[in-house]
Amino acid sequence: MPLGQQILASFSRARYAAWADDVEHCRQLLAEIRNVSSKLDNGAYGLIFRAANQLSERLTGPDNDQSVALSDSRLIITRHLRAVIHRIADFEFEVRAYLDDLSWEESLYKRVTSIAAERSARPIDVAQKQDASTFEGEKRLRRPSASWRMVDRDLVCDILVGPFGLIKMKGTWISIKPPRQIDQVRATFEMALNEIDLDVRISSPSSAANTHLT
Amino acid sequence: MDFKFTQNMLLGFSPRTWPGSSAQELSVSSTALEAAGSYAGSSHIFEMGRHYDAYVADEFEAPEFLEIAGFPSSPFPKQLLEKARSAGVTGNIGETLTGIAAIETFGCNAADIAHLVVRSKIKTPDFLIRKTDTLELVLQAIGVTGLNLPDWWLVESKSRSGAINDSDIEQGLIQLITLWFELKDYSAQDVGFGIVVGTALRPDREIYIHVFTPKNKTQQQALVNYLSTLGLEPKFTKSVVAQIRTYLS
Repeated sequence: MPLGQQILASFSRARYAAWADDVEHCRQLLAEIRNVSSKLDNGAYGLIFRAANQLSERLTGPDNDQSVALSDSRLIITRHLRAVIHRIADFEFEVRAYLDDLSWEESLYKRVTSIAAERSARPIDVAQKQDASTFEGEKRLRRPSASWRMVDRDLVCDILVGPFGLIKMKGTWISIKPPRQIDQVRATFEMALNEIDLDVRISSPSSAANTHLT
Repeated sequence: MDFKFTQNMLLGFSPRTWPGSSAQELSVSSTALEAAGSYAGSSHIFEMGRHYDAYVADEFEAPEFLEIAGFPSSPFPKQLLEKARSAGVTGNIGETLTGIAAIETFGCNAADIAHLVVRSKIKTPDFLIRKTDTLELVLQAIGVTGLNLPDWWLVESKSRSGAINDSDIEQGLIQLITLWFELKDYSAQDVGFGIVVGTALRPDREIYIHVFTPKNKTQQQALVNYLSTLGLEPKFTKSVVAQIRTYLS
């Protein structure tokens, strides 16, 4: 892959990571971009470096306490996806999951289509995407948005998959008292992500299989 | 809810026949907006999917919930009949739709598009997309020939809750011109190229994809030369923009 394209891919992953609040991973990706920026002429994609610098400044700005690290228990990593669990109300949780291996995008949408066809209460609208290619011989990715619901013990989890390889999971805890520990909600979210990304789960964040800029 | 937008392709401000026959209608669901809105929009807004349902639906259009006996078919109070739409929410929906239109119409994969805006007050295009095979085919189909196409394309979004007109699109063009002014000194080959996507959320739900290119290589050089005469901090007045438009298709 040409270096310019790799930089765009790394920047997209960094933006996804920032969206999910996967701050340390975002910093790593931005550092990779910084390391190669001097090797390139400043074409229009020089704008990526500028945006990467702005994002770095935000992450190191006064509003971001770098000593507060994201705890491993909030982070879920599968082979191609990364996700962070957020608590947004007493009984409500949200997981923001994103494609960290961009080459897996087509497989992601195939998996999602398959799961939604089986689980969704609504029929998934794939028909209008099937003829998306407009030119002879052109192969275009089908990217149907999909959602389905999963109920596991005391957690009701709505899984929404949209464009850009982004997944949002909304969890509502239905017991009278909130969960005692994060693992009680994490297990359900992790199960949902592992169902999407069927490959073997990676146990340690540091061993995640990523494409690094060279 | 799923809403269908009619897409229109323009070279500059001149309408072109839609390149291809099957994807002119873009169907976008509230699920897509909910999952991607907080990523591809610039402002921080919760529950983008529900905003999308309310902002894009017609006044008498009810959400199609799964049926439950006893519940009315139109459960939402019609708040938007008495409350104004927020420009920030409209802008976020428009930016997200721009990203979706770009990936669908120009065949971009996740690795071909980046959402660049980090700080809204700094000059940055909303998206940067890589030249894909599909983008090249689209450009050929609408009559862009004889130019060295850049590998990277700036994409600006303009959205309105009602109809969108040429002056709205010109605002997006001025944002492109501002960036071309910077690029002229170190990346002259990229000057004159860019895309403005205008989105009208209602009543007709239309997306206007304006592709800007120089008329030819000579006019591209003339544009670079003209931008170089504008001083260090130019104001892009109506007359300056009118002059710049003479170099563009």
